[in-house]
Amino acid sequence: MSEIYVIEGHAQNWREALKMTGTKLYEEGCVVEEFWEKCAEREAEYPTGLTEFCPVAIPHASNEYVLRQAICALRLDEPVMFRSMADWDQDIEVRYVLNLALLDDSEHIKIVTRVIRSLKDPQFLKKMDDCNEEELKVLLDEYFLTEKLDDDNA
Amino acid sequence: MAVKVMIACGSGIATSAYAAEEIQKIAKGIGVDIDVHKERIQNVMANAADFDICFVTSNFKQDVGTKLVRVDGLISGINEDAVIEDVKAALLEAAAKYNAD
Repeated sequence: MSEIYVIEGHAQNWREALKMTGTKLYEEGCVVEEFWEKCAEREAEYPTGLTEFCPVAIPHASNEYVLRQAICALRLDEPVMFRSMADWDQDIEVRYVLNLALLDDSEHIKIVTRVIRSLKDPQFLKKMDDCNEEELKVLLDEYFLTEKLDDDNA
Repeated sequence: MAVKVMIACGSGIATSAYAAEEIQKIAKGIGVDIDVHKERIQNVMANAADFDICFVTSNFKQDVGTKLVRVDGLISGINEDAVIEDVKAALLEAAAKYNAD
């Protein structure tokens, strides 16, 4: 069973944002200690910033550093720059970092699919913005961990 | 005969997992059978020869000697319709090659 953790805070840059989310996942026993550094290495090589319309990054690391499947969502008080997944030469402002601690099982495919489907909907971002920290956890649980967005239910 | 497709992203487990689901759906929609293999970007070059098409979720653009199709639009939603058309065209072209053999 996967878990979602929501935190809020300030980061100087993308590395610090990865450290905040990775540390939370480590404290919760979901990943090994070096997970965030592995995310940072991966991010430097294969960035995960989405688009100028979707100020979200979806960093992750190889499943060998993951103990229990989880997502740590960080809402930033001020945006930090991530490089764009689609165009590595482009920087985009990111306000939400969804750090994905994924195992390689059938559930992870469902979770990734739900995360990406949600983020492609501008209404979903608006909903995220309108939530306080507690409500955000409820929203993400509903969209990412239930079958709401799955094909059979769409 | 199924068309052999590789779907590659940075880790081989996140965006490629999503793209694989979407490409399976597109293939089904146009009646093309595919065998999907998920891969890390750094292994595309070494393994491309074993596949009919390599789909990548980033702007990786080295010449790998195999048809290479960018599908980051499936993830970002930007120009998604055009990307879906590219995927269809590539799948149909590869399928036609098998039918001709």
